[in-house]
Amino acid sequence: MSGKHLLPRSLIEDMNHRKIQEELSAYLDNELSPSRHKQIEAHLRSCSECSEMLAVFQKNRQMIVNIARPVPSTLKDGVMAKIHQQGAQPHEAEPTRTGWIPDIGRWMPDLGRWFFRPVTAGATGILTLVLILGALYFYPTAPQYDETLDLYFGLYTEQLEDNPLKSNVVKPIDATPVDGANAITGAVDDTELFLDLYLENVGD
Amino acid sequence: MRIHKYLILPSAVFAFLLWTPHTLFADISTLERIAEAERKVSYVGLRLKTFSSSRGTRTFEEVVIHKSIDASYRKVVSIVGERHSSEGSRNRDERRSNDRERNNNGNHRHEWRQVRSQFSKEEIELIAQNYNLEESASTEKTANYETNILTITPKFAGRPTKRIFFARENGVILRVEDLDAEGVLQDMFVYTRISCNPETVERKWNVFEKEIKPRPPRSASISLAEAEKMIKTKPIQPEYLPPGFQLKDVRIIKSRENDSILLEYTDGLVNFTLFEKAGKLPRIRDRDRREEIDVELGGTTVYKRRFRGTDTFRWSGAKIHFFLIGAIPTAEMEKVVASTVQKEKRNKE
Repeated sequence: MSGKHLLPRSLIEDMNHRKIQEELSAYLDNELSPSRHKQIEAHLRSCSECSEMLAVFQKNRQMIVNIARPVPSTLKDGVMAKIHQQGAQPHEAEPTRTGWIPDIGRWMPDLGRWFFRPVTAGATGILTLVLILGALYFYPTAPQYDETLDLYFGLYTEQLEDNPLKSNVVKPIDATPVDGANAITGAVDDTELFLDLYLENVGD
Repeated sequence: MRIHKYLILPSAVFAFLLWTPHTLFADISTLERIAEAERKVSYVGLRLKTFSSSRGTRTFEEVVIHKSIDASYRKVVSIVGERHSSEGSRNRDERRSNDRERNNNGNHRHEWRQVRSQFSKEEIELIAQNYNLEESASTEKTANYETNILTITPKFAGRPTKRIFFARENGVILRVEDLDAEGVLQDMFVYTRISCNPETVERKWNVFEKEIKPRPPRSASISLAEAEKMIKTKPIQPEYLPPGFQLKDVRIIKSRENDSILLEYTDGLVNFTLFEKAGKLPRIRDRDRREEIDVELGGTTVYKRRFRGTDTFRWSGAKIHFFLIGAIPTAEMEKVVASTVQKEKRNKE
């Protein structure tokens, strides 16, 4: 048997030893074939150096496991429940640029209650009435020229018409009648005729 | 020689006194007597009143009660005649205006209206200054009263004539006739019944007083300084006034648009009135514009319109809108307008 080995026994053991050390991580993770797993297991019983190395590996791994704590199950369940809930709700509209407008809808119930208080309703009614009356009073209705002329003419004549010492006649008036039966043939130029003219209207 | 000198002055004074009563003071005493009667005699009566305008002639019957100068009222009791002239029915717009006026009158037809016949001393003097006064006896009675006639004829062309028939016994005016510049009778009134018995007047007053609802006056006299505050600029007065005319009154117009003043000018008998309005010009419709004629006066376009038989002018300055209404000859009115336009332009500069 020894004749089959061309390399010295110490060297062969050293090479085997290194190879096993390289495979220690896979050994811990049960990633090796069963035969190889048994070979390494047998070696570890006889090799203190490799056994120590394995112990260091196991210790480090345990430390890593302790640092990376798993998420508590309650939190995880809460997050998942929320995701499921949102998935079940109908799709909401995309927010638009008018999104800044206050949500009046939420205030309406309160506003309604406030508005229908007797004091508020009364005050609102009075304010509305005042506004309407004010608008009617102050509405800038520009008078029409006809109305202004009527007013001015009335003011002009009121100083004359009731004053026997005033006169408002300058020019002769063409008094051609439209009614033939009561025709005035031209301007009346005689006082007595003029007087007769309206006395005839009085009749008897 | 010395005695002769002393005689010259009294002779001159005597000659002046002989001359003046026929010119300056001729029958002013009659006017004063009439004015005095208006202040002192109360009366109640029925009168017929007829007046002519571009629209035609209208006659109505009025009841008049004159208790004092401040308590004098009249009320139309019936329209007894109305005749339309061809000019009055010339166009649709004028007819519409006439209808509106007739409706307005109809609304007030049966209302008592205050008679404000203030015969001021100043105006009586102005009449005496600008008109010839002549008193004569009338041969006819009016409402059973013997009458005298005061005839007022103009010293200046283009002005009217007036004949006043007054009761010989107390000076109360019983009939008035207004003749235009051509001597054509245009307006008149005559009492058909009248009583100057104080007891009768008092009895009637007690009946009528319940119906009388005096309307507040639409204007009030103010000073020129107050007028300046009102329209926020100095009122413009015409530089040209027809001979014998002078400023009689400045008044503020009491209306919602309280931004107008009026300047009233008179020669005693005839008036013309200049209205000055700040702020916006009234809205002028197309149909109003159709009634107007554009004339160039004093370098400004002036809009002239015949309104109810009277000449009216309107134009706008830098800050004020002007309206002129008056029964003086058109040529004189245009001179007044031109001088006001020029005055306003000079003030602006």
